[in-house]
Amino acid sequence: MSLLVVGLNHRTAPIELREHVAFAPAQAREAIQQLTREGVLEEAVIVSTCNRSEVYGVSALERKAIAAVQSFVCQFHRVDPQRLNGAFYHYLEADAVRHLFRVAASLDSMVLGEPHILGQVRQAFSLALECRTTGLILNHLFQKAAQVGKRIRSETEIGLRPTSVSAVAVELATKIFGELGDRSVLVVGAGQMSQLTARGLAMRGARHITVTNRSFDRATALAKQVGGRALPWEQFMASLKTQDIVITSIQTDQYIIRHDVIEHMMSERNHRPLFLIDLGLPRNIDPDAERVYNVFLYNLDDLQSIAAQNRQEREKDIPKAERIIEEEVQKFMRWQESLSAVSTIKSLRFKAERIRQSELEAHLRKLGPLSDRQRNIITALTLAIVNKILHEPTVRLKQSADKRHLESIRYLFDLNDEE
Amino acid sequence: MSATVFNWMSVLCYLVSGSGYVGFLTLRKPHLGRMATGFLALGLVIHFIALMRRAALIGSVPYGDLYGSISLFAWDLGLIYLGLELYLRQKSMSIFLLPIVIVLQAAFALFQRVPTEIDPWVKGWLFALHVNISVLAYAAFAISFIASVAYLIQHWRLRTHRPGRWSSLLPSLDLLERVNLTSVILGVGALSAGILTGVAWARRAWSHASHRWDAKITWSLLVLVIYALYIILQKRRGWRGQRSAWVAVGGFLVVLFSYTMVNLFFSRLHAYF
Repeated sequence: MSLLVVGLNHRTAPIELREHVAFAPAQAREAIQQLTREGVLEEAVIVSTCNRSEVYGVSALERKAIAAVQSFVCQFHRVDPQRLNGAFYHYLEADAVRHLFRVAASLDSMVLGEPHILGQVRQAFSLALECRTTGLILNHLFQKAAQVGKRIRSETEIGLRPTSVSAVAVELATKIFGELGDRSVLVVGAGQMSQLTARGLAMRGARHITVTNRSFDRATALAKQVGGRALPWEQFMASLKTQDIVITSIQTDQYIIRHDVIEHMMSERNHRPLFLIDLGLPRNIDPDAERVYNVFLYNLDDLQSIAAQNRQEREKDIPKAERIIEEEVQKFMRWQESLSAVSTIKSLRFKAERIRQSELEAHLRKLGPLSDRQRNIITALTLAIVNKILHEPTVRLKQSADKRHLESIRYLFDLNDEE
Repeated sequence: MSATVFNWMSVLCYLVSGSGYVGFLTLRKPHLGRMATGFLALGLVIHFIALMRRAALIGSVPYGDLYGSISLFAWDLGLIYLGLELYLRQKSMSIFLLPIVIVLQAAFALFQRVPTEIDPWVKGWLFALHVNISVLAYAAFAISFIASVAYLIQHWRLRTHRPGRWSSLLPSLDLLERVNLTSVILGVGALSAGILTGVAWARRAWSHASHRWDAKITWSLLVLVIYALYIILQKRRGWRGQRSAWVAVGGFLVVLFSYTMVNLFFSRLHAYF
């Protein structure tokens, strides 16, 4: 029996190729059922995202299963195997375990520490559970993977601080205002970056979003997307003083918001804090505005350098994450090892022998002085009873290929701590 | 067990709690945070028992001397912080607060002597009320001070475009401002009540007119004025945020002065607070 993974990801295959072999949920369902039905794999889970397609499996075919899974994937997606030459990678046993843990912890992602992969791994597993294509080993493996992913998110800074411009801007907004529910957001210009930022703010609870653009139609379109309302271009200066967060990204060669306008406006709005996010290039907001009391002005460069810094911070924690993963891989391998018939029989016999000896000693003491012959007979009696009782389970465990029996024995006799 | 054992046990709990908070904030292990909060709560319970023991030993309020009042102050501080932490679900202000509580309670455990002689007038419910309310006010001002410092750090990081670890550790500016305002309002209310009960008690205790006014009252009124100013400025243009945070810092410095120098050199009636 061996545990294996076969797949390709953003490092080994370009997007055009990954598209071809991606599994939509319905396809993944069909594929894992086929794989197990045809006997290529005993257990199967497919993890497929836009950055990876991977088949996890347990197979009796050992190494031969790798080629079998590869050609299955090619056939399933009707892709010429030649095209996928070199794109496939595979890992066995501990390496496969390590690979899944790294994937779940987002160490293998395109953006280090991105949060979605853990959910995708969980979904892949629950789909396989539904299709009943998992068994003892993959169940344990994927439950562990989810735990490892969670553990790394909470114990390291991988995935802690945002690494994209829009996410950094949203984070800053929450550090200034706390809850965003009652804050007013004005989006000036309908660029992609400001759109992302506005959507991020909306996701963090901002309900009052206004969008303005030179073209009113585009403003209306963007407003619809972020759940806000559109404002005619001519009116936006007048609405400035009621805003808390202003995002600008307009193509212009002069500042659209001058510093004296901000100064005037701040005194009108009682110097409530104002967060200005200037995503324009060249800049849209007079940099002097920053000197006005309680104004927080960030331009694209500022946000980008914070994002870069956060990325470095994440990378610093990679060794720590790898250590956690190594620890969990060892634990998993020990668990798997314990499932082998030999080690289970050994533990069972060890436990029985320990009980026999301690009971024998205690009872011999109670009996008082005995002759050597008497003593030997009693000892032989205990040995015979233990051996007779253990004989049948020993033989059957050796014959059985079903790991569930081992698990039951370990559970019934509480063998997990026995060495 | 003697009161001393309880004192040191509470210090130990605070130390464990404090290192738990530091561990939680740097290593981000959730169970460390829960442990830290648990030990803080345990420390407060033991601290309370220690105060009660002391009271039983003296046969009067446990804060009839300087050390006792310091211990009561530390206890109030820990209690208000714990309430804030549970209410706001925010542990990061602990790194400012726990060191203060630890130092105060350790100093108390180290230097305290059980007073052999108690002033006969240090008794009665009015005196107890006066001291408890006043100490509560000081603790509230201390919390406001901590929130102000945290605000100034957060503000400085955000204004200089270097949020970094400090910014993600500390609560939002908005929240810190609200914590600050809430504790100042609590403090002003408590201090006003403290002054009134103090005056009422003094009238009862002494008939002599020269005992009616004390330098401490002057300083307490000054503290009241500064914090009242803070509350007013909070809503004023050009003053909310950073500038009013500095006012709160200034207010607390006056509180510290009133707590130490005034008691030692100027006041005849306030030996300890």
